[in-house]
Amino acid sequence: MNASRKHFQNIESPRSIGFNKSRLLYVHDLTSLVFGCGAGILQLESQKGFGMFIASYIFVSLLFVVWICQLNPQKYFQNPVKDIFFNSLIRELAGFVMSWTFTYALLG
Amino acid sequence: MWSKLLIAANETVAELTLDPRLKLWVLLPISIVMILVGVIQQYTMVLLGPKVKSAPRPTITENQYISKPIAVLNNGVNLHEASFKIRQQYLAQVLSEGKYLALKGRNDSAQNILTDPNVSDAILNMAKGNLANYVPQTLIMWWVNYFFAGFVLMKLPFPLTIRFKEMLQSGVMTPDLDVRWVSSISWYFISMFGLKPVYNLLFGDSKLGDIELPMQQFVGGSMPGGPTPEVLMKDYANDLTIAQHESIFEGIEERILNMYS
Repeated sequence: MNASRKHFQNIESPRSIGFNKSRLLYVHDLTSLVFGCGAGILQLESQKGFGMFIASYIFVSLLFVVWICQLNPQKYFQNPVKDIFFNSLIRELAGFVMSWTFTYALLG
Repeated sequence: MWSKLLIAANETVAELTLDPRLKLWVLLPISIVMILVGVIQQYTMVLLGPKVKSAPRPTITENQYISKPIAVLNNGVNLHEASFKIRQQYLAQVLSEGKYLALKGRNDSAQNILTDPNVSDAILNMAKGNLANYVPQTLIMWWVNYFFAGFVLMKLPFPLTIRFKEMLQSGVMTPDLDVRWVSSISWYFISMFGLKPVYNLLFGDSKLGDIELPMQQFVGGSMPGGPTPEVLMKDYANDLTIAQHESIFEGIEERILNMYS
């Protein structure tokens, strides 16, 4: 009985996993661009700006875990820590830097 | 005292006053062009993209008859003894005869990967994708370099090391200007790396459909380089004929009693 229950737990739908990942990516993309604009409007420079990126990224990821995953991320992701916190880090950093630089130059 | 002053003078960044029209006529056009090129690229990829994969009916039948014995062997425990026997006999006979082979008596040794239409199609698609990526990027880079060269466009919000000076201040003839003041080509680089999230926001939903595509590619036809369908069928026929039926209901009373004892 236990064995079969374990067996059914391991069944994964690639479609659902892909959907969850794209949803997470959408949230990260949107928030990193918006926070980048915020950093540019505040005219933050060097370390403060990157600090804002790290703080906002961690805050959004935690919010995603608490609010959307209902504190149960392993139900929706195969490898929760890697998928939520590390997979799109570089990409979001690039997006953040772009919108940060853009608004910084426009307003500065 | 003097040395301190000198250091302080070196540390303060020279403030340049930039023409505000630079933002309107250089920064915005480059950004808009890059976003539009991304949109065009996306839609050309949709238009040039892979068509719906189709396979001739005999091939599909062949594949299904290859997966049938696997299903019977794996899930046969759920079947009645008699119905398992019927399936076993029928499938073993059909498979060993090769009744549903797509191409009977095909000379498999002469099969070349490059002549297989599916594979050459995939290679062509890959080439198209690469071309659609590199051609617009090269064109924009040339355009930015040609039209907007020779002046400082913007100030970066973060300091960079002196190594970036040559690349990011190309065309600005100053020996000791701070690296934070950069020319237009650096805005091109920054937005080239940073536009992916923007594209995702612009057409995020169309990407959802793309996830399933790679899996469907191998539905029709066996993988190149793998064993031929004929060999596979023979193997499964042998497996089936020696398979012993074992019902899931055997000894179930004892197991239930054990569970609840």
